[in-house]
Amino acid sequence: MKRIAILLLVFIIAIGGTVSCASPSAEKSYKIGALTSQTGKYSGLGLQTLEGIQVIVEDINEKGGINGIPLELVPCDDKSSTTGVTLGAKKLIEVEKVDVILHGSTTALAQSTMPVADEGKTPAILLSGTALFDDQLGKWCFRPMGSEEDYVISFFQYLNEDLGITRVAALLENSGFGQGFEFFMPGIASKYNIEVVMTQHFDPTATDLTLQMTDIKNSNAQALVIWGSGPAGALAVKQARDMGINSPITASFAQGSPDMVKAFGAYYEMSPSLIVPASKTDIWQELPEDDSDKAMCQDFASLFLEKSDPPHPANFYNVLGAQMMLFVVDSLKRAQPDPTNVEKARSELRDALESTENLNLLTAVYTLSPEDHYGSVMQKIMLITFKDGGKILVPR
Amino acid sequence: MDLSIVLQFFISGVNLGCIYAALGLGFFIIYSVTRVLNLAQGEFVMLGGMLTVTFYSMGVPILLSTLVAVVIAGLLGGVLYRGVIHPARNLSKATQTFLTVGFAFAIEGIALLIWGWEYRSLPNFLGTPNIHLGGATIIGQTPWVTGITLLVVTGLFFFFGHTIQGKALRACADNPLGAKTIGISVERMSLYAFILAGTLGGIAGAIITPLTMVSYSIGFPMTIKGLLAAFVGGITRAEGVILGGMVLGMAEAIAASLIPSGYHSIFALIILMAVFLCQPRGLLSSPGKT
Amino acid sequence: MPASRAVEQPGKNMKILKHTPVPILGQVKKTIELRRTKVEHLIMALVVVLFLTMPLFAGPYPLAIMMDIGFYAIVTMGLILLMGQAGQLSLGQAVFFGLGAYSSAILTTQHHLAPWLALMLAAIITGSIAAGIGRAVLRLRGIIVSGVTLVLNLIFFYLVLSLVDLTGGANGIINIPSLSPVGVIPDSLFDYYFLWIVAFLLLAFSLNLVNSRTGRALRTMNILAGGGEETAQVLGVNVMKYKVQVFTLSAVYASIAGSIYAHHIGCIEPEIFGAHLSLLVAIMAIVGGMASPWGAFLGAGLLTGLTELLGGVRVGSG
Repeated sequence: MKRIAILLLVFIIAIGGTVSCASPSAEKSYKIGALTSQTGKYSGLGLQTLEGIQVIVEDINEKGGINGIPLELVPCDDKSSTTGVTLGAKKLIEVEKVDVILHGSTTALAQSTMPVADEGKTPAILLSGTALFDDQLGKWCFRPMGSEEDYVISFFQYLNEDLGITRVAALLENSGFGQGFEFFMPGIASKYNIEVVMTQHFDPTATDLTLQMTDIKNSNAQALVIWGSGPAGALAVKQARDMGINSPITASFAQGSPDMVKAFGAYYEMSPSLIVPASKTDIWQELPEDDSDKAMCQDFASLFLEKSDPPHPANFYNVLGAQMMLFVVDSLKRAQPDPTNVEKARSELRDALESTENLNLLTAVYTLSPEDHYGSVMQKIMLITFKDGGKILVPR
Repeated sequence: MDLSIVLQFFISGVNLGCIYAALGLGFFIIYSVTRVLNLAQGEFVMLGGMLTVTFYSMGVPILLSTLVAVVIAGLLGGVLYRGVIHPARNLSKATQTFLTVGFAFAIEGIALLIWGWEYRSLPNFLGTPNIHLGGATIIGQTPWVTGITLLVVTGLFFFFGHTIQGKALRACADNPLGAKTIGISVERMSLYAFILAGTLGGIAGAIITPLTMVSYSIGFPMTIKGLLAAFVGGITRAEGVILGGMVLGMAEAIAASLIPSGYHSIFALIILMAVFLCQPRGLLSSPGKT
Repeated sequence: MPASRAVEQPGKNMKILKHTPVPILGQVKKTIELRRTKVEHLIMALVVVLFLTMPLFAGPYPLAIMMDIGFYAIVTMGLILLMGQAGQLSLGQAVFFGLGAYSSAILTTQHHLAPWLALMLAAIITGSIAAGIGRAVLRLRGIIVSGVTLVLNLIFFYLVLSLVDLTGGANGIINIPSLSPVGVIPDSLFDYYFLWIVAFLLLAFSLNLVNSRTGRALRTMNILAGGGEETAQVLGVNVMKYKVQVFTLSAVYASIAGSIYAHHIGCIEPEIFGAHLSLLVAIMAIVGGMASPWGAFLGAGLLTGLTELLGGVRVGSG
């Protein structure tokens, strides 16, 4: 009896609460919903992405906004869960009335954002998502973030053309991250005349990879490709060197993140030093003077160093977060939607996003079309390596 | 099969087994005294690792850092009992078990606030170099993990077999009502059990960090790993937990060398299910004896 | 060692004696009385009207919260039957939620069955698996059951992750068809009514079960309410049979919720097998109270509502 009364009360509070939560801002602004993982399993990825977004929003606002209209960032936690994503996206669309959603978390969660964005007729930019599902994006979602394919190509091209290697062993994470890589690997390997002599897997939470390493050591592979999204990938590099594997190793950008470099820098520098992909911003000092992107990357690097709290250089996901925001800013500038009419603004912004053409940003050049929300994205992947406590371009 | 693989398989198996056993022992102690499953056990492991890294990076020598971290983890075990379990002592064991989940969430949240999401690592204790042995490799930290686990286990057996507190704990585990009748304070013994479990978790965290890295979020996975070891071997006996850990470690090593990769983790779990089907209380399960 | 199994744990028996036995008959009588008060009928009617009319005045976000509450409530209701009636502590409800969701998704996307048929088949599949698991796990006693079922989450998580051809691996399954017949009413509206009608039907079924012969048999073995398996056995209750039955039933509840979830959201991934869902549902059962299936709605509503209110949006710019 008493229970049911409480039950009723809770529902009323819940419903009332959601309405009172809506904070209609008096001044007109473009509302940007940043739906990222702030807690839970993917919080590392989500928080870094959010930091990148925040820096750009702050910078734009200090420079007077977009055509005089400021940006308002509404961060929302997706709790690293599918239910969290769905609720968060609906809240941003309906209660916060954002003009666009930036989703920064993992593939599976990005997928859950798609139907909500479609239903709510709100454009959504997805950071993650495997290239395997790009034909599923629908009318309102954009994933202009490049594909795993580009990384596979950059690795195998380097291994074959620069090092003349023909036999490679692959050690891939047992997750969506590794799954995407594995999908593209066979085709690209044969294109570069490389034979993948052994494919081993590891769990994202693995701690002992010595057995996989023993097999790899006993194979006749000339190089090792490691592709993981977290610490296990970095542990793999450490244990490979511990086991005395002296062949070249290439690993994913996650293994190049600052905390991993701090923990395993000594292993990364062991000759031949580890090779990871990075954005141009990561190593703008190393870019040749005639590189047209050098000034842009330098500007962003110093902007990020100035705005981030505590100040630190931008890492890979910071850059991707910033890039998502810059992608939206470009379209806002072109569309100049009226922020007071949300529905119209969303639709105009969507059209503008769709017609993005030759947009040159930090890590890629974008061209999108109504048929292709994934876009023909030219990624600027740089291969870097580690030397004397710093990062340098791989000599080619 | 190549000799180096057999050797590596053995080394990895023992190493993983010791990690599992070290994680599982805390469950055994709390469960046998209080019949509560402490689902916050993994948080002690996380704290042991995190605190050791913190002190070490402040310049404290590694063994001293470990010691301080372990003491703090032990004290937190006491806090868990005094602050959460003791006030709820009249509620059912199920509720008490869930309260430990709440405690675990709280610790995880605080750890995120203090240390952020970054992973941290430690060098091998005292810079122990890797040992190459006939094509196989023993990573420098492995002897530390095995040695300290053995030391802890020996210490536990001595404590339970030869000290008055240890015997009192065993009495509570065997028969709480009987223990009360002969004047043992079950509450005090429960407090000791939590402190001991916190200490063991802290030790496990400190010694595995050079191998596995540590972040605020590793607590829950560690809890699950420890539970696995405790269940396979039988949660009511220390030998059971150690045997269970070893079986799991070996199973995982066998899986990694024989089973197509991608199915490794399941293999160890299937062993667990097989053990349950044949021996539902774990491999070593004569109740009433510790 | 068969001998060891025959020996009962002395500690356990002592503890049963320690409890002051709750008068079981009295509790049953109280429950029946509760059900029959007029005020309750009135409130029930109010709640039903509130639920039916809610889509008229609430937007998609409150409805999404209500959907979440509905999913959780159904799973929690199953758990309350298992915990509150039979005294078995399961931390594995996410397994059956996931099994329901994945069975539904696989049957509709790969075998092109109608969603409602898939939902029923999924419940049967999950029920059979749960009966098998129950037979193995429920031989254990007390809190250990919760630990073992917690580990089950992990087994199924890795299983789903590894069977890439069947389950899509870590990327999961997308484009799961909606339950709603095309074009009649909007999908989300249909899902809302469907979910809550199912939830109330299951509630009615649960309330009947609690007051049936089975319910009374279950409560005699409920160690949490002062009963015990020995007591039940003495009274001639086939303890194992009832335990497995109620375990299976709770799994079917979770499976139904999982299926509706999969068809509603449209995509699923292995993370739904995560132990966090199992723990959350168990906490909901404890918060809501385990004496009556109504507790499921209270627990699910309180926890979902509160987390959404407290932690949903952190407003601020940069």
